[in-house]
Amino acid sequence: MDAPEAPLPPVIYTMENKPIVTCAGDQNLFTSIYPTLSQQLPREPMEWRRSYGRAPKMIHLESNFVQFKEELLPKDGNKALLTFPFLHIYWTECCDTEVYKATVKDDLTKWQNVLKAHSSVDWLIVVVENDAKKKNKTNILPRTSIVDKIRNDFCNKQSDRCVVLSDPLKDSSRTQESWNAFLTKLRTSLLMSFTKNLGKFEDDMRTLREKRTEPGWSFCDYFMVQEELAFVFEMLQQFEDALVQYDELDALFSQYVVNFGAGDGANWLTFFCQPVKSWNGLILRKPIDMEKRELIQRQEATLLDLRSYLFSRQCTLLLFLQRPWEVAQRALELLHGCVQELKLLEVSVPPGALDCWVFLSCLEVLQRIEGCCDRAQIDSNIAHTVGLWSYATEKLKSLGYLCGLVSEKGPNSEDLNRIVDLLAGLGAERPETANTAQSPYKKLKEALSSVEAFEKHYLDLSHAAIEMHTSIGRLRSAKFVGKDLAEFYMRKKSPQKAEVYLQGALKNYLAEGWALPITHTRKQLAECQKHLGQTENYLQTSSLLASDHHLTEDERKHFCREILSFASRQTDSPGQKIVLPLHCFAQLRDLHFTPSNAVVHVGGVLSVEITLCSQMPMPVHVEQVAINVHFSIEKNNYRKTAEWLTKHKTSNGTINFPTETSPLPVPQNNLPALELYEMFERSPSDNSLNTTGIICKNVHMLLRRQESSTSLETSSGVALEDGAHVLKCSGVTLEPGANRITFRTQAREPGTYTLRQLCASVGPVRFVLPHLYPPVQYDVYSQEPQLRVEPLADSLLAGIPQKVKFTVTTGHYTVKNGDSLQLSNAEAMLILCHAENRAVIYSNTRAPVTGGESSVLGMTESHGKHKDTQKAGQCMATTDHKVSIDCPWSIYSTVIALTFSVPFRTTHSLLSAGTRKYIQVCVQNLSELDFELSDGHLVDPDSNADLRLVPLNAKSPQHIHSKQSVFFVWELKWTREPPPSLRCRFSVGSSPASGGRLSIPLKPYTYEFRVENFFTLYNVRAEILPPSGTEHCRTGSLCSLEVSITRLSDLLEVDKDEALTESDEYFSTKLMYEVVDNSSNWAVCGKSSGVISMPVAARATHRVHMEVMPLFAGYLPLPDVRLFKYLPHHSAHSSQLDADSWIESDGLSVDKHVDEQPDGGGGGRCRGSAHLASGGEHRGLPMPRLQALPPGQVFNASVGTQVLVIPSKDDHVLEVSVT
Amino acid sequence: MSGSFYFVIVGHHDHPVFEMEFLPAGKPESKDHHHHLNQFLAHAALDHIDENMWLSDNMYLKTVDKFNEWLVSAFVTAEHMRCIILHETRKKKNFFTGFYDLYRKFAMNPFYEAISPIPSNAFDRKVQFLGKKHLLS
Repeated sequence: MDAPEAPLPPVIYTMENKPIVTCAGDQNLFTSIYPTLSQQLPREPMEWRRSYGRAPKMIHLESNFVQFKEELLPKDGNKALLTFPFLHIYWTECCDTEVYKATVKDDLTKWQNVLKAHSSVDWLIVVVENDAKKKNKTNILPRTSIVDKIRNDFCNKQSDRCVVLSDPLKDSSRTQESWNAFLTKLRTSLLMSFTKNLGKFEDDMRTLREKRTEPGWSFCDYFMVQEELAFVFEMLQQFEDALVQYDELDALFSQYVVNFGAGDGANWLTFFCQPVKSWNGLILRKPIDMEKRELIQRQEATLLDLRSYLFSRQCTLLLFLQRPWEVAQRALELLHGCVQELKLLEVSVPPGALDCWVFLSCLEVLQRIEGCCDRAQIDSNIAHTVGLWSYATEKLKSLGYLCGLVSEKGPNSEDLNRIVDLLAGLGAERPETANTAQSPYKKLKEALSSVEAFEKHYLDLSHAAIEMHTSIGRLRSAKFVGKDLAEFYMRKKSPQKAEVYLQGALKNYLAEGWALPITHTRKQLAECQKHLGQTENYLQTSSLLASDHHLTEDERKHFCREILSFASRQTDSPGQKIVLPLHCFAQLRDLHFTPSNAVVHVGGVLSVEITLCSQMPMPVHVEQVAINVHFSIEKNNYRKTAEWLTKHKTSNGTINFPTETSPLPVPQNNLPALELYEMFERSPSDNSLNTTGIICKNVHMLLRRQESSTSLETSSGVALEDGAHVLKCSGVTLEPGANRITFRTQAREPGTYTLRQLCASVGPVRFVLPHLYPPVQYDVYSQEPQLRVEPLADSLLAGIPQKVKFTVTTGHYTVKNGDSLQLSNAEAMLILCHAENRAVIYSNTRAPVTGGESSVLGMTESHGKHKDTQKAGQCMATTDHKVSIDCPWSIYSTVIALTFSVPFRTTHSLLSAGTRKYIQVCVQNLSELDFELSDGHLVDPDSNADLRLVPLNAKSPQHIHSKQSVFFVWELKWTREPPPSLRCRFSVGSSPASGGRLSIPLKPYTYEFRVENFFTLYNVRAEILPPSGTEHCRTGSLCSLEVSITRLSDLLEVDKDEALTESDEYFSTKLMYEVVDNSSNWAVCGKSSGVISMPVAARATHRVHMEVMPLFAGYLPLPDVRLFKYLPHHSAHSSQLDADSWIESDGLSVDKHVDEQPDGGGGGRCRGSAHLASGGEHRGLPMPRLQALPPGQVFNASVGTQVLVIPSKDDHVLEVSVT
Repeated sequence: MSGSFYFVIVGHHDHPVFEMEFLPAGKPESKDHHHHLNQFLAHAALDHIDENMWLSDNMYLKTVDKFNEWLVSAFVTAEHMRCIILHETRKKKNFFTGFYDLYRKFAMNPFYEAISPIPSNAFDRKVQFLGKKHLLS
């Protein structure tokens, strides 16, 4: 460094300092070596082992070599470490014993004595050997001898205190070696000296610190001592250690302050409690603020001075350590800490002074950091600096408010005085920043100088802070600053600028459910909206605030009045409606229907009672409360409602609405859950695990920007529904708390009514609850009255009195006294009314209606049952009878069809015995009932005088059981030729066998029928004769069958048909006979049928002979002999039949179709139509037709006759047929 | 306002779950002007807590934020419930430790739905007691 000759500056407190090493002896020699030495010394680091377990450090040593002077040696008590010479070196080149003895030894002794006197033990003697010199002087002693002498004389067992440096200025390996050894020794010695001296210093320092409880101990003194140590460390470039010293001082002081606050005050501390007179902020641009240091040294520093100085030192060291961000962090802590400490120490501070100090300090720190970092570094470390930015903003804001710079009118004289005072406390700008345009000092001064300048600076800072907070995702902090900014704008009467910040902040608070910030921000927002004239928004915010329990009663009332006064003011301008959400005005708690099942019939009255919990702090008169109802026609709505009710109906028909616990908790943005999956990646070769991890598969969902979600508190866009169906209640005064409001409505159209919106009108303001949830419905059903008529039994039987039930379902109709049903019945049906016939009304749980005639139950009845008795008249089998009923609820008649079943089936048959005729009537009881039959009559309605019907019946009454039959027989007698047909009417009285006495005569049961062709025309007689010579017929042997057909009458009307031929004055007709043995008893041999021409004259007889063979033995019935009319083919009777009735004599098959079923209609007409159906193979040829003779016209005289057949004798085979 | 504390537990959705103010004995409640400020500060401090909790192994995060004379200390439970104290001086670790003990037990109550507001009076009383013990003494 400097040449040793240069005068030593007194103390240099910069890091340019180096530990002092004194040089004694040959100055010229040292001067020649110095360049090499100063260059070589720091080249290699040396390990410095520390005391007190501190970690060893590698250290590059440098030294300030100065000429030895006795004054340099510290006197007792001087603790200055920076000026402390750590090592004393004596340089000599002496190689001559004589010279040594003459001068060097004395000089050395003197040097040593001085050192001893100052008890300095850190010394070194360097002997420089020079080959050149050696060569010059021949009488030279071996060089070791001089060194040995010196060692012997001075080093006294510390031979290593004397070092040899050979040929230092040469460039040889020996020189190098020698240098290395020397440097090592020098370094070691230096470090040893450091260790020893610093250790001693530290011990002293500690001792001093331990005395801090003693009276008279001064922190400032101690501060200077420890700072000395810090300086040394700094000098040794051990910044960490230096910082530790300051941190210790910092902590010590802080502890004292805290203790002071706790009542444990130290005397010296009272000095720091002097009022703050200067607040010029931190000074960080100089490594050491000598001014402040001197104040501390003189014990005149204030707390702010001390703190400022301390921090400036810490800052310097931290910057040396490349830790600018820690500076920022510590600065923030310091600034807050100082404010706290001043408060704790109860130091009097002029208002605004601290704000100035903090503001200046923040900016100073920021500028200092900016000065040593590039832009990119700063940008990526905003998190560290933003705190200072917002703190500065905060402080500038409070200064502005304090000095009247924010008010509209600008600062008043008092404010101006304050500003002057504050500026005075800043003092003059320091020279180091005087030339900087944007120095904190200038900024503050400018900001305080005018309203405009303040605004500019404040906005700059605020925007910077907001931007920074936002850029690092501290949205909440950004909102917080923004809210202050909004407040500022409001003061500056720029509500439009404030609004966005307030909305932003409010949104955030709402989203996270912080009640008090919400209230506070809303209050500001209300003011803002009021200024902006956003009526709707303002009213909405007001209503929210009026219902906000975090506000005082008075504030709430104020906002409530705001709404009311708006409402009353606006009444003159109709049409304009302000729609606000209801929930902040009042809350719907519950709803109750009467009737509780919420089902009414058309015309019925439904009442809806709601509990509305008013959120307002005072009674509010509401002109109208309306519930908007959506009407929908649905089928089966009644059933649906019943279903719905069973599901949703609470007990007693009350629907509770969930209370909106506004504003907490607020629904959160529903982020999807993390979808995490394990991921393994294996190497394809050996399947060993390469990497593993977790993948989030829905990152895109989770990391989506949330900001742009819709605002939580815009004017809500509540749409006011205009529906035709509205439940209204007018003139309601809502008291704070629960209010019950009842709506009444008369049900009109049937259908489902869904309550949709609840709307309370206060002047033009509509508080609307847009959706009622859970959904509430009521149903209106229109059940038209219904009449049902049904038999009491399974079915109605014709002919007997039975009871029929009339069921009147009144539906919505109310039965009034005197209401009656008028029945208009068909003639065939009688209605029997008993004296006691009165409608009995069965009450059936439903809504009240006035009762019918017999008993008034006091309840209207929807489904009463009226019973009547009725007699059903006589009619045919299952027919409908219509009854027309006039009901009081309808102008139309109700026509009801009743179905009656006829209990009897009646058949008749004609029986013959030769020419005597009998009519048999069979009455079959098909019903389940038993009947009595009486007075069976058969009459000829035409009253044919020639005919007589002679009854052959048992005495009446006759009992006819269920499912049984009774027969009646009459003999038909006539005097003249009988008519071809006879009409008959059968009548019989019937009454239920078990049915007591009947008050009315029952009409008899009648059955009309017609008997035709009942007169016997032909007598057929068959006879089988055994073969001649035998007494009996034998099986297998032919017997003769004699058939004689005898005409019993002359020409009659019935004979006049196509078969009748007239020739030679007599008539004949063609008949076909046929012998058929259906039971296969006989084998007819030869022709079994034939056509004969029969004269139409009485006693005309035709005989036919044929052979038959009995096939079995026993009494065999005779084969049937059938007789047909043989009609010519051209008969127009039925052309269709022609085609089908080809008859062959052989194998003739005849189907006789005689309708044996009782003919349902018309009274027993016996249609004699029959036809033969042939095989149908022969078509197209005109064929004669056969017509069976009606059974009444043919009498088979041999019916029932049997012939004994005996088995043939030579029967060898016994046939057994088993069926 | 000096000498009082504000304590809040913040749930997963950043909403306050439990709040309590501790006022030094004898001092009447000052103007309620500050109540909202407490919440403002605690809310803004969430930014810092959310950053700091990932930088530390400890549940106790020390002082995470400052506002004027206010210090904001935080403690994050294992289930990431953020507990915040607003205070003026001294560290609040002991209170947090005591509180966490209490909260753990409370959170294990099967009838308590995690992160929902804590309506329990008993919990209230116990926290009050802790506050008296660690904060106000």
